[in-house]
Parts: sequence; C-alpha cells; structure tokens
Amino acid sequence: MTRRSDGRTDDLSDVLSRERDSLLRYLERRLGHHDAADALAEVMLTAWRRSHLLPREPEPARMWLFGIARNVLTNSERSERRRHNLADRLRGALATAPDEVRPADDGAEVRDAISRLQPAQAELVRLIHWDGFTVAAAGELLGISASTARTRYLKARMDLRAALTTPTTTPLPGQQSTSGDITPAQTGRP
Amino acid sequence: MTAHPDRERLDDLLDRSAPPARMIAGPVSDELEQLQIAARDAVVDAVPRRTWAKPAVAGLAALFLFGGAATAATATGLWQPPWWADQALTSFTYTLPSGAECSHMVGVVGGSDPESIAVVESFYRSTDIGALLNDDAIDTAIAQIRSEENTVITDDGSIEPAGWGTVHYNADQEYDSAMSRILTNAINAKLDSEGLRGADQNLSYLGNVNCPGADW
Repeated sequence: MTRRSDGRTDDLSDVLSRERDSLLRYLERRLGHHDAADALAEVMLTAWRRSHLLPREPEPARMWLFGIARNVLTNSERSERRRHNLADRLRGALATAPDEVRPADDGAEVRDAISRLQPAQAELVRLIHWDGFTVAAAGELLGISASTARTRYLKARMDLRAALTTPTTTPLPGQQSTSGDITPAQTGRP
Repeated sequence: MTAHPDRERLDDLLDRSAPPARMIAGPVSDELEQLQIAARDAVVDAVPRRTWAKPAVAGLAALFLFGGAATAATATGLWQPPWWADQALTSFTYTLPSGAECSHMVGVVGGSDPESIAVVESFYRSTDIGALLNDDAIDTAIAQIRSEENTVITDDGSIEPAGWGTVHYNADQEYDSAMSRILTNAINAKLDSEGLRGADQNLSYLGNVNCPGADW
C-alpha cells in the first residue's frame, strides 16, 4: 500500500466539487432520486479508493469520474442495489426537495422514443443531450471509437426524427404539407 | 456545420427530454458536500496508518479508519465513534507492546457479490476474535512479517527498508499488522471454503481502531 500525496487528495476534492452536481443528475436520471444518493456514495468511495489513478487534466478527470459512475450503474443493474449509511442524509434531502422547474411539455414522449432505440444508441443520445457530453466523449464512456459514436448518433437522430415527425397528410389544394415538422408524435401506444 | 431548422428543433426536443430532477440547492447542496467529505474520510483517513508496505492479500481489502487521526483525536478527548458504530458487526480489544489498549470495531462490509458479503458478515458475527488472535497466532504472524521485505515511503518520497531491524521499526505497528493479517487470512480461508475467493473484487470492510497512547 502506498501513501497518497496530499496533492492528489486535493485534486480529487476539486474535481468532485466541480462535478458532483452533474454526477448526481446523471445518476438520478437513470435510477431516480431514491437510488441516486447511494449510487453517488458508491462513486465517491470508489473514486477515493482509486484516487492515485485520477488524471491530472480537468476533462480526462471528468471522464474518469463518469466512467466510475457508469460502472456503478452497470453493477447496480447486475446485483441488488446497495444502501450506504453515508448517503442517508442526501437521500432524505432529495426525497423532500422540489423538482427543477420544467416546461409544460415534460418530454415524456421524446424519452419514450429514445427508449425505443437500440440500447447503445439510446444511451449515446442521453449522454449527449441530457448530460452534455460531446459525441466523441459519449463514445469514449461507452467504450466505442469517436467515428463509431458519430455513425450511431446519426442513425439515432434519423430514427428519432422519423419517430417524432407528425405523420404526413395529403395536402389539400392550396395547403402546404406538414411533413417534416418535428413534434412529439402520436406513438400509437395505448 | 450548417444549422438546419429541423436539426435545431430535434436538438431542442432531445435536450428538453431529460427526466425531471431535484433542484440542487439548499439542503441537497449541503448534503452533497457532506457526502463528499464523508466518502473521503472513509477512505483517505485510513491510508497514513500503514506506513510500511506488506505483501498484498488478494480477496479482501480492509479500509481502516484508524491511525493518526483517530489516535491524536483520542489523546485530546475528541475521538468520535465512526458513523457506522451502531451497526458494527463485532468489536474486540487487545494490548499493544507499548502497553496501549486498543478497541477495534468492524462493520460495513461492501462489495458487489451479496453471497461474499454475507460470508464476511457472518464470519465477524460468529467468530470468537479473541481466541483467533491468540499469542501463538500473533507470534507466527510477526515471524512471517519479519521474514518479508518491507519498505517505507519517507516524507521526501524515497523508499527505504522498513520493519524489524531498521530505523523505521515500530513494535506497535508490527503487532497491529500481525493482528490484521490473522483476521484477513481467516476471512479469506472462509471465502475459500465457500468457493467464493475472488468472486468479488470489490469486497471490503470498514474498521475503526482507537488506541490511546499507542506508539505509532
């Protein structure tokens, strides 16, 4: 076991201070607020245990943290979710906190369209549009090359555009077609 | 890249589709900060305790929350039990070569394999730790430690020989290492017997030792 330098400890403290809100949102959007606090505790504990591996540059350090978060999510899908006493107070605070103010359209139909993509494409779209990653960075988190990520993202956009476009109606004389208007479409679900 | 009206509308729709999340302000923000500090304390405070290296024991990692911070705090009457004290699996006491009395608490087994976690928890709940840490076992473990190559990382970052027969030898620390080794070996033997050794690479538990007067 080697001693960790104070400098690395400070580095991780700084990175976590910058990224903890984003990490919480990332986990909350995938697990719900009830389980997000425990997952975040797991992420932070893992990050501290592996702090000697923290990249020195800010962006790689951010990617490293989200890589841990993604692994925690993956592991939580495989096994029963673990409760951390460390997370008790945050879990309680989240339970009573108000939601962010959102527009009247809460995006449910768009989320539904995303969820009907292939899982790898769907997560790519979520990372880019929900979490603010570039296409290349989202691909890196998913373990695919930047070019593969771009290809999959373009395909996902095409599929989403088709799913969210109001079905074409035959224009009456003197009217313009509405084809191509992107709005949350009728999904045909009951 | 030329913006296309449809493309922008699609982007807007996708950007706005993130599920609703809690506002991060007030108590949530405060608790996030506290969680970050608690996670660091649970892991980093354990590290300075081990000033000399020993061979890694695969299978189970112990995250000890004792050492410099706890000992110093105890000397000034500021020592506080760990946050998980009310769920400790076991506690026991022993005497270091310096005469310092230690109380040792174990709890919070973590990992990704529920079966392995259950085995470790069961071990600590059901094992007579005092009997396990008998004089013969301690002597054997100390002899083994002394036969190994140990090193210390000095304050200037250099690596020097440590342990028995060196300027860095510390009897209390050696005794405590022997005790930890006996416990870890016993747990790993239990995992072996259940066919679970290595099944969970993240298996760990928290320990807290309070040794007022120890010569660390």
